[in-house]
Amino acid sequence: MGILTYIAIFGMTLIWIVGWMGISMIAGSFFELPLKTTCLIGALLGPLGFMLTLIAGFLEGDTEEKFAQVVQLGPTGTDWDPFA
Amino acid sequence: MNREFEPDVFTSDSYPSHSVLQPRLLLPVALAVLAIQGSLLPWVTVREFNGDVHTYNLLDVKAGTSILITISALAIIGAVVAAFKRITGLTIMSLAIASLGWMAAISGALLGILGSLLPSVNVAGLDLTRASVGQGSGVTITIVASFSLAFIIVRQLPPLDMYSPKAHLSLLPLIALLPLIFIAINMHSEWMILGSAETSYQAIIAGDSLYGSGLLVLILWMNVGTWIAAVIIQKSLVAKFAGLISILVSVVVTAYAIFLWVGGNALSWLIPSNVDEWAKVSIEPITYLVGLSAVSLLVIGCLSFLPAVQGKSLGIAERGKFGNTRVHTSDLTAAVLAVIVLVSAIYRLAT
Repeated sequence: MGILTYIAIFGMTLIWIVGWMGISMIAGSFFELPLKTTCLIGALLGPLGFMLTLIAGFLEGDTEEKFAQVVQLGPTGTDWDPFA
Repeated sequence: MNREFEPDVFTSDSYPSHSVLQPRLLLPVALAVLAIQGSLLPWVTVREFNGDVHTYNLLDVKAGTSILITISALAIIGAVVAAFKRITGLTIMSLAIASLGWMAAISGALLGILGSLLPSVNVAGLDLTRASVGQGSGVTITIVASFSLAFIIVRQLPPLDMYSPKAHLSLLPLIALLPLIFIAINMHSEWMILGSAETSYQAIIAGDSLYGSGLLVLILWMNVGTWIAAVIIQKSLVAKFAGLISILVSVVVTAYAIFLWVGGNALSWLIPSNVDEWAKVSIEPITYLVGLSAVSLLVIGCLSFLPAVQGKSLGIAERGKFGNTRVHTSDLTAAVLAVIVLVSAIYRLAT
């Protein structure tokens, strides 16, 4: 029974950590934050890491918006058809 | 790369030497030991109606010792790696300790679910079944230590390092954490006792047995996290966000303390004198202390909106004078934590 409890507790903690890591990664990719940062923030801080990712994303977006030059690289809003 | 920084956040003067760029090893090790020590303190408290209190920690769980040994071994490996490759080693150590912190947090959440499955026993609007199970102080210590260790790593990562000066920490969040952690710990302490020790019937009402306290405890912990985030990310947006949550939390906790005090006194007044002995109502001193902490948290929350207060900071990279030698502030903090852990361990062994 002991080994099963050991696996269950570590498994549950691992699912929690990996789950929040994934959520933070998705949020971070939306704001184009470094992958290593978002992974570690999510894994170490869980839901708080997700919140921190959002804060960092908004702060980064704020600073980049102020100085970014608008460069149109290609047509925007064109959908790519996977069956074409 | 063009970026706009707050002048007090990113200056070349903030980095006086290469040694300041990397976190020193003693404080993370002390925090890891504190988190492990927290797992040996009560995680779950069960209060019987006759006044007896039973506490359980990680070691009481099946395979608890093996879990603790695994986490300690990983933390030691991290500490050894950190001696050669600081950030990598500290990340390993922090992940190991974070898993312990999450076990503590998940145990609290499971406790809430378990409590909701038990049949309720309502007395004067209070669910005595929920009052019979609660979190122990070990959960708070483990989570705070694991969060603090995690933030030491997180503040080194880009782009957060741009907003987190290595030489000083914001003062207001550090002050805000004191009443907040006090409230978080004492939400699980006795606020009111129904009955007396002389009689066989005694119900202990903790803060976490009050209506809506589950959600409040969750928001309290989120607030602890946002204030820790405000310590490292020195942007007014983060401090204001944490301050706003603090204001909401403090209003609710103050209302809890006032309603319990009013309700307790009203109940005491309504009980006929012939049943007074076994149905005595006593408001515990912790209720008043929690109320006062909530009021101070309200003031701190309001202060977070003032730019003049946000700018106050505490130097951490400076070496403080300790006797004839100059010691790093982080090393000094680590030494204080080590003494606390040692005294606590000796006290537990002696009692």
